[in-house]
Amino acid sequence: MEVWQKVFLKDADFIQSTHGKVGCVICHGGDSRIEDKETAHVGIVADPSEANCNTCHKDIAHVNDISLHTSLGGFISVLEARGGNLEEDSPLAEAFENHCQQCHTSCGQCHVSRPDELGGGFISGHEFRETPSMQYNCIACHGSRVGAEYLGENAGIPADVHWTKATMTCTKCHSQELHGSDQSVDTRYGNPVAVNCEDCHQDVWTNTAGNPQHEQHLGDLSCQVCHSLPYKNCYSCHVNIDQKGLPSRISDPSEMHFEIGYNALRSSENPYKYVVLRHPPVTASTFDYYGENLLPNFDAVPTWKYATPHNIQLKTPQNESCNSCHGNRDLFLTEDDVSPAESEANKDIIVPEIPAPRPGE
Amino acid sequence: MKRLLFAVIGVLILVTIVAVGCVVEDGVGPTPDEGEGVVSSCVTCHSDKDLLKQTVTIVEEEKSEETSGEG
Repeated sequence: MEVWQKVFLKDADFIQSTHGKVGCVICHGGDSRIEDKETAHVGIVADPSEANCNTCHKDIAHVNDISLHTSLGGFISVLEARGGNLEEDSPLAEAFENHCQQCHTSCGQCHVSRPDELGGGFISGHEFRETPSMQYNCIACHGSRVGAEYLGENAGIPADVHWTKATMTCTKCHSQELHGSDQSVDTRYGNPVAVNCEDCHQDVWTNTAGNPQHEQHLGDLSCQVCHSLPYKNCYSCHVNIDQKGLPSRISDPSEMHFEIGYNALRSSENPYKYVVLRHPPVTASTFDYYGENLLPNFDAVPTWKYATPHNIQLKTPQNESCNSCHGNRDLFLTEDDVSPAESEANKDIIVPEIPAPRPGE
Repeated sequence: MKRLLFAVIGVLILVTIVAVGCVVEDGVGPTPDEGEGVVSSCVTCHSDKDLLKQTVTIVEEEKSEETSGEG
């Protein structure tokens, strides 16, 4: 996208819209009475979401302030659980500022423009879009894993059936939860307004007749255990500041795996014993550039994380028959699949003994 | 007749006072100084493709060339 396009109001009628009538300088600052470009732009705030949206949209802005999209609470809670010290001026806080903070979003970076991290720029003039663009907003940030899975961009793995059969965009399922609720949560799975498969597929729970697999496993296996395919896992991310003084990171090549393990987030709302697990890039030495042992309690949280891959299919290799899964060691996260350095962190989710094959099946 | 006239005038004055008192001020709307008249000067430039192309300032955001792998 050319730089001029990023700020081009292709439709000047914007000033007749509700937001346009408020006036540019009220939100963005600057001085529109001056013709000289540089002077007129003194004090300009390109993304004025934080100080302005709240004026009219209190109901949403209030919950959004503590949503994971805004607060990055998901990162913070895991780093703290691993013993990280994020107090001001700490080495880890500096690393967080340099390498993690840019993943936060704002109202405008979903509803008006592309995310800053990807260069920003209007999506459609200055139009306020109630529904963010799947391509330019959601997948712009969530592209390498979820986006690629959903659209079938991983070699040999088909796109999600919700995309191929129904062309459902992200917000068809993920709506209110994107702004969070009025509760502060540590993970997106703790969000009380998070979407669940059964929100649409209620019949799966109410009518299991004729489906012995559902009859047997509902409530014990997350839906993805039977209905998703191999997904991307990342390893060994190390951050640093390069010779030019720029934040940099290096990680090992990603790998496609499918791993079933125990559910570390098991609760009454999330009762599954078995779930699928994804390896995120973090490792114990991820922040070593900034100081030694900045995650002293690294093993407190598994490195194979509860996951909900977005490549859902009705029929998958593992749900073809009972023994497609039972006795199939390749599907389960066992001690052999975990590096010795991460064995302790994952001890509670590794499957010590995989389900035995069903005789006569 | 005079009494009637005074009464009508009195009622009119009251109605005027009430009407003025009930005007809702729009707290978030632009003042005339800041509103559409001024907005249009921003819009004039930002809706002129050629002008934007001529006056654009390209600030190269440097990204580390050492970064590799997926985040």
